[in-house]
Amino acid sequence: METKGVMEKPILQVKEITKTFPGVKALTDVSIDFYPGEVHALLGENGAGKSTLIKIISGVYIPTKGTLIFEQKERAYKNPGEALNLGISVIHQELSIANELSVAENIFIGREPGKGKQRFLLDRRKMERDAQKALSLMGVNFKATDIAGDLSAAQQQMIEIAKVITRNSKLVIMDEPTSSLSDSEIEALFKQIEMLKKNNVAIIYITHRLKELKVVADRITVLRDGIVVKKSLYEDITESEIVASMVGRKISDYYNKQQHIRKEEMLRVEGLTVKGVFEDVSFAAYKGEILGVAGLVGAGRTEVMETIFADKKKASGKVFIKGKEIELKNSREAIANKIGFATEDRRRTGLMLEASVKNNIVLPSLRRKAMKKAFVNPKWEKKVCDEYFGKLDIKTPGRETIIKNLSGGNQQKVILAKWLVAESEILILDEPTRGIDVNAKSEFYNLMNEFVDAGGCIIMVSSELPEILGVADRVIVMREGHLSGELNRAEMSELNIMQLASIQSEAESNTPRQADGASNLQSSKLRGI
Amino acid sequence: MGKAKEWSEKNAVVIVLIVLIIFFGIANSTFLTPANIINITAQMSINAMLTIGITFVIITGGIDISVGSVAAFAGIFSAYIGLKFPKAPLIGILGIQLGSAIFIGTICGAFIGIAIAKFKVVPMIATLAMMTSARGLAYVVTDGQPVYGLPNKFAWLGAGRLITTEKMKNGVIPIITIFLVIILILMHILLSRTIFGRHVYAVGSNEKVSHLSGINVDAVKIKVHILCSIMAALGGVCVTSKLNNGQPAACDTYEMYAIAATVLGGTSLLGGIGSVLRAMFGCAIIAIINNGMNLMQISSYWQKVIMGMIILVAVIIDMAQKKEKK
Repeated sequence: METKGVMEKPILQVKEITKTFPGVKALTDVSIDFYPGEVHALLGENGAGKSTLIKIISGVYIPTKGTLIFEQKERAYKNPGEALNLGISVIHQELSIANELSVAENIFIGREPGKGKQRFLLDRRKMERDAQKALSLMGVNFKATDIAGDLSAAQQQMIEIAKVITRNSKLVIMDEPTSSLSDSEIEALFKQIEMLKKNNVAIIYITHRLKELKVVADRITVLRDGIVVKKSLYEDITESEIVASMVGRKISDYYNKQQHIRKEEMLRVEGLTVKGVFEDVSFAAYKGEILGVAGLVGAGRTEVMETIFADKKKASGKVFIKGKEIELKNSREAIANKIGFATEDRRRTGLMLEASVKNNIVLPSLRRKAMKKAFVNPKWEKKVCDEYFGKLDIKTPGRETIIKNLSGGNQQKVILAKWLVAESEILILDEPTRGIDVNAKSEFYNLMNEFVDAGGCIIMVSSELPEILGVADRVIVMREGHLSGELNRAEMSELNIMQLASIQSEAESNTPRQADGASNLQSSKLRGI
Repeated sequence: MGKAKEWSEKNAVVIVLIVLIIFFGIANSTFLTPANIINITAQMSINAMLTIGITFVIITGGIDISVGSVAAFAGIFSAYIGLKFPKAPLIGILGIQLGSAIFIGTICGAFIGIAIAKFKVVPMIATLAMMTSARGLAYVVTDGQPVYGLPNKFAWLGAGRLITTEKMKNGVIPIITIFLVIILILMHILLSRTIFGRHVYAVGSNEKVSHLSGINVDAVKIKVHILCSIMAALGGVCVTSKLNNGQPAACDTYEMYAIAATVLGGTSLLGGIGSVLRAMFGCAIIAIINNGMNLMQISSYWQKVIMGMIILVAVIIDMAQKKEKK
């Protein structure tokens, strides 16, 4: 920590940056200084604006307002290439590795050394030599000539770091670098970070795991709703202060929790199994309740929902709807049986992004509302859209607006409208509030409560524990493809859910996680803070 | 002003069309005569039929490069059936022509559709296979020779005209143009007003979402390919009728003109966006360039070169307008 750069000039100054998207203000007057030789942790909940900020720093977005000062000079770069040339590199959570190419080819991708007068021919020898030099410096256990796709995630990440080294980058952004690494791999990564620091590289470090900060962070900045709420040297702040500034509001006000009364059974599954994915899952959901489904990412929750919706074929097990066993052959039959499914990836599997709001809303209901069995009923389309724009307070310029132009919150409401128009009584919501801003979340919870009060049934898969605690009447927890438990409202707590979600895997756990009362820390992975 | 600008951005193709009309109108005195304009509508009709079918396929996010070969095969088939019934009345001949198109189109389209939907063959490859096979079949059944000796009534659909005047003894309105207009109206209604049409757009917009919304995506793809092949086969039958003989080499590279017209008409190759009516502007542009260059006596070799360049430029203009709007 001897390089704590109070004396040094910042390598990058972000000054009063504001970024607006249609309908959303993602960042407001954000000013942060980043110093060479320091790890600067950028913290905040999902939707706080972290990713928008790093996209601005790395040249993906152009800020609406404000300036970037890199090495004491104002810069207005227009694309990631220009940022890269200045010396700003990003290591994304999803690594950008070309699996079929060798390690050396990956490291030098886009800037391969040439030979001959015109530098037309590839100088493979030089490329592999330089790559190997960087790899040896890092002390890794693979060679420049290995094929990248054969390496582990951790080794692939080392390739990304080798890229940074060979580029002589001055600022490196690491977006959740430890999310797919084991303990020993994380240690190795931290060693590399230490080495980068010694070489006076500035590092912007994004993580959801507050525990790691103790090891790596020199300085922290907390963002909330697009505003900087806390800046500090790490040694001057406690973890609980960090958590408090990240959450920043009383959870009870936010979720508007209502106690629902459990009525008759709507959906029951018994012994549901998809080989190799999940096994023997049995649970029931009732009219008038919100059933939470908790668990770590990869526990099989989404797959169970896909199977209930008949998008995935089950190997064995039974599905009962309103007490009657039904063999659903495909999603069309699921919809006919009044099940609606809002998937976790809104942009990829939830919406026709280039289509109008109207076409998105009416799609599953077209056939049911057809005129003379074959024709679309335009009067009904208009009526039903206007009706739901009002009911759900969907903010859109019009029915024909292309849906990708709406904010995330409004898009999610459109998906809700789509299933309400389809007369769903059982709504499966997979991560319903992912990536939408706080106010929209709160509104969405109210709509969920309304739906349930009117006699609907919601099954909500969520990785955000506060959300489960705030909204669900009951929670079932999954762990590694099995149902590990069920908790009623009185038993629900972050600690109890976390224990059900992860306790067995603790021994082989990849993450530095504690089993004691530090539930805030534990839940950080679940919540995806 | 603002509105005019917005309109011109949305309708760059219409402007290109108008510019071409003005250009050829000035360059050649016969271009804008009523007789020539009617000629153009007849000349564009066959490409238009192929284009309508391809538009459906491209809206689902697919592609079909077999339409030229399917057209040729269906044309040959209709000629053989026509030879068998030399004394058939006009209505019978029409029945033979439409029946051949629907028969051959359904078979070819079902093959393509099933290969794509059920066996997950990439559309380009599935239709490439059909392109060579259908062309091959056309040569196999004819042994490479044209099919002559068709009854005169056989030419009514492709070359006949209604309403004779003193100036135009052969008739004013081409039957094929009327035929096209009927097909166009039907296909426009099918695409824009029916549930099936909506599903075509939905599949092209996002297959997964369509599937999760209860749409049988495979069925939509198969139906769309059958429709496209039938449209191609109709085009091929019209070519045979127009020439009054069956040519195994007919309709060569027609798929390229049909794809070009579709794209010129604003249909997105990524799927989800497009219209058969707008595709007709694309057909008109291609027909006008052909006709205009013929009148100017430009060599047919150069015509190909110029055609290619104009298509490229028109699409670039269109893309640039769309990009600006973002």
